[in-house]
Amino acid sequence: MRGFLFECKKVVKKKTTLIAISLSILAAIGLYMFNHSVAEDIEQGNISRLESFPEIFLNFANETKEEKEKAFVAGDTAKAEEFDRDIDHYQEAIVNYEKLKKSFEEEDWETLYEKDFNEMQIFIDDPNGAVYKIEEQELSNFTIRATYEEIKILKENKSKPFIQNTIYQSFLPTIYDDFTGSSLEQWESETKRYGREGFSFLIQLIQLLYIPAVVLIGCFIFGNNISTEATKKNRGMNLYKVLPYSRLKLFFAKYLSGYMYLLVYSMVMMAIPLICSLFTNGLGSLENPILVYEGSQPSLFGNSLNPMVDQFHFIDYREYFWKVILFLAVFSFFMYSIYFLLAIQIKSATISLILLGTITYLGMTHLVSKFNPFIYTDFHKIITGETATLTYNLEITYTTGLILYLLVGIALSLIGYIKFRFKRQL
Amino acid sequence: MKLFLFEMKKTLYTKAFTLFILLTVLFISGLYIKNTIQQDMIIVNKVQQFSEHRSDVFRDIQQYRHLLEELPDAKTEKKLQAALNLYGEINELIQSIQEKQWDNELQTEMNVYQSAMEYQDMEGTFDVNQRDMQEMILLNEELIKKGLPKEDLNLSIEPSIFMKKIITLLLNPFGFLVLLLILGISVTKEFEEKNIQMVYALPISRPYYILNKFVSLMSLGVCWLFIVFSISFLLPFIFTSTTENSFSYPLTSTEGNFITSSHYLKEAIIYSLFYMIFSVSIIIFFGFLIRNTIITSLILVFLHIGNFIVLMNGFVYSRNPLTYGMIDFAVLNDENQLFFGTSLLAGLSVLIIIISIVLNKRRGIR
Repeated sequence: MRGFLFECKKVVKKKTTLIAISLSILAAIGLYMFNHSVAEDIEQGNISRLESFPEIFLNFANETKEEKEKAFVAGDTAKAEEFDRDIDHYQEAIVNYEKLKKSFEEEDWETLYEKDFNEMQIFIDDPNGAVYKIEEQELSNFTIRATYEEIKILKENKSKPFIQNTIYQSFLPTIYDDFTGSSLEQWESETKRYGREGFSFLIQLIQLLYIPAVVLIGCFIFGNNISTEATKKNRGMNLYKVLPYSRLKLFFAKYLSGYMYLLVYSMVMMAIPLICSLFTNGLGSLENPILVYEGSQPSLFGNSLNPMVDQFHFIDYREYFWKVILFLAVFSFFMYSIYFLLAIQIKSATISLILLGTITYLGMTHLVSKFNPFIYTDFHKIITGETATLTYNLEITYTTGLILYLLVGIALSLIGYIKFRFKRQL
Repeated sequence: MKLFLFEMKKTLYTKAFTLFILLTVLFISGLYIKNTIQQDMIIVNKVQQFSEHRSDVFRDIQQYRHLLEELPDAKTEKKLQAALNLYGEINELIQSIQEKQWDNELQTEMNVYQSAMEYQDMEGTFDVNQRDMQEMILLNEELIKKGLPKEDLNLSIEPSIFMKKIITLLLNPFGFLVLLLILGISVTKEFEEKNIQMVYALPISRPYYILNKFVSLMSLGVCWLFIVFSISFLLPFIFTSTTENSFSYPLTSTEGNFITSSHYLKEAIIYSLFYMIFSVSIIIFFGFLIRNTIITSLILVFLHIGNFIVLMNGFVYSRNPLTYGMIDFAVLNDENQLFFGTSLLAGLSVLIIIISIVLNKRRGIR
């Protein structure tokens, strides 16, 4: 225990560690500020777009009024009546857009949910007849169903949504859509989600692989407590060898202190966006929904996603975050055990970081198997079942990931210890 | 000169740089082998894509026939004719693809898209945007004019297109970041291991030492670039049978204009060289300022990842020097001017080096 406390103290006393932590915190704050300003710009952009519509329709109405008067003078009453109907239609559009603008400005989400909900009803009632298109390409029925259910939950919970670059339907993007070319660009632009509240922003970050990046940097900062004492110029490890102190105790003191700091660092980095949000839009609601895919059943013609039949459900943020925290604990243990092993062997922290980053990236992208621990790196896709659905491998689950990380982590830690114990010259 | 060679030797002796070069060669060779093996996949993908369109059109044909049986109507008859015509053309296109008659394939593909646009106007099903189809027709016309087959930009093993793929994969913020992290070690390690005390005791002025360090690291960076470009050119050039004017392949810029692949490569090489100079000046600046591997590396990581996030959110400014770190995008972006971009990078590099020299001129060693 004393050895452990001593190692902990050594880490805290290092100026490099403190500067590195401060830099990371500053980077996380910068990221939050950037995202916040982009989200604000998008919301302002939506309002500005809505401001232009009443003007356009007012112009149409005025032009039609002139046409109507001309028709009236010419004695064409049928035409004049037709123009009258057009004017009514334009005035109705003006009122509707004014209301919509007001709802956006006042962030009256309930009214906006109600509008979206009503507009989507036709696609739910008649899935074969009514189709929603982006240019000439159809939106999948799965996305429509998922968006409809999401709006229903948001409306029931009176929660705030993500900000999206659209004044029409705020669709929930799913893996069932297959847009190409300019439709894809438009779809991505309209469905890119920006969280303004703390919890939403954290979810947005988790989707962008924030946690693996934080763990990687954490390993880089805290995983060098053996390698820094075994360089050509610093032979601190030799001192321990002559002390009446077992190597097992020494290894675990160094290993556990680094891991403990990594865990605390990762949690702090996760908390930064939440703390920042307290000064802006608040934490938000933990009742908000997260889409979970239930996979696709194989058919006679092989594996394929079926947007009409495939099922889904939602979990709330609370359940999602508990899962993330547990996953973070075992994932950081797994990554740290690899880094520690590399650090014993390589000594250069930068090379160990590059190697670990490369191994993780290659493992994530090149081998689809439930026994590949790197496939679980994208927490969000594992918890939501996206990876399992896309790879048609329903065995890639959250629980498998937890067990695998734990087992491989223990095995790698043991190898690390053996390497440490029996290496003649560290 | 001796100092320059000594600095080069020191970096090479760390083994990390040599390993990085080796991994780069392995990566390029691996991608070339993978693409060569997957050549048949190009045909399979194309056939699959048009077979799906054919199925959609066939479904419409069945529906129109059914409607006509119930109630003959001139409009439906017209739609059926258009659908049958399109169906026939798609069949012809699939046949051309399978028989690898690329000139016929290009012409038939244009016919298919023309008919498809007319068919879409009649509310027929064809799951491609009109804007994309028009772009595709323009590209095919350009290819026919130049007598070149259409290439798959991801799987091609034509020298210029394969080089473009490598540029996209390696010469981006992440590729440059890894190189900078490796090169940066040679600056910070000297301070951490206190070797710098010996260096500063030698009769060498600090500006001269910093400049030597800069030039040696830049040479290593340029050496890496040379390997990236030469291997990605030589592999397909030696092992793939290429068409005579394959370097005039038309590539589409962000505004939809065509530039030839040789023009693209020329600009990519120039941008890479200047960006390399700029990147190395950044390492020299932070390395000599901070003198700590972990902190310097973290700053480089945050700088590059932050830049990547900013670019991905559409904040592209030609005055931001880090924008040019995504070489493919820098070349294809019509807003970027080669002369302005390279002058900006060169000017900033000079400025950063001068600042580094000034800051370290009288600074002591703790």
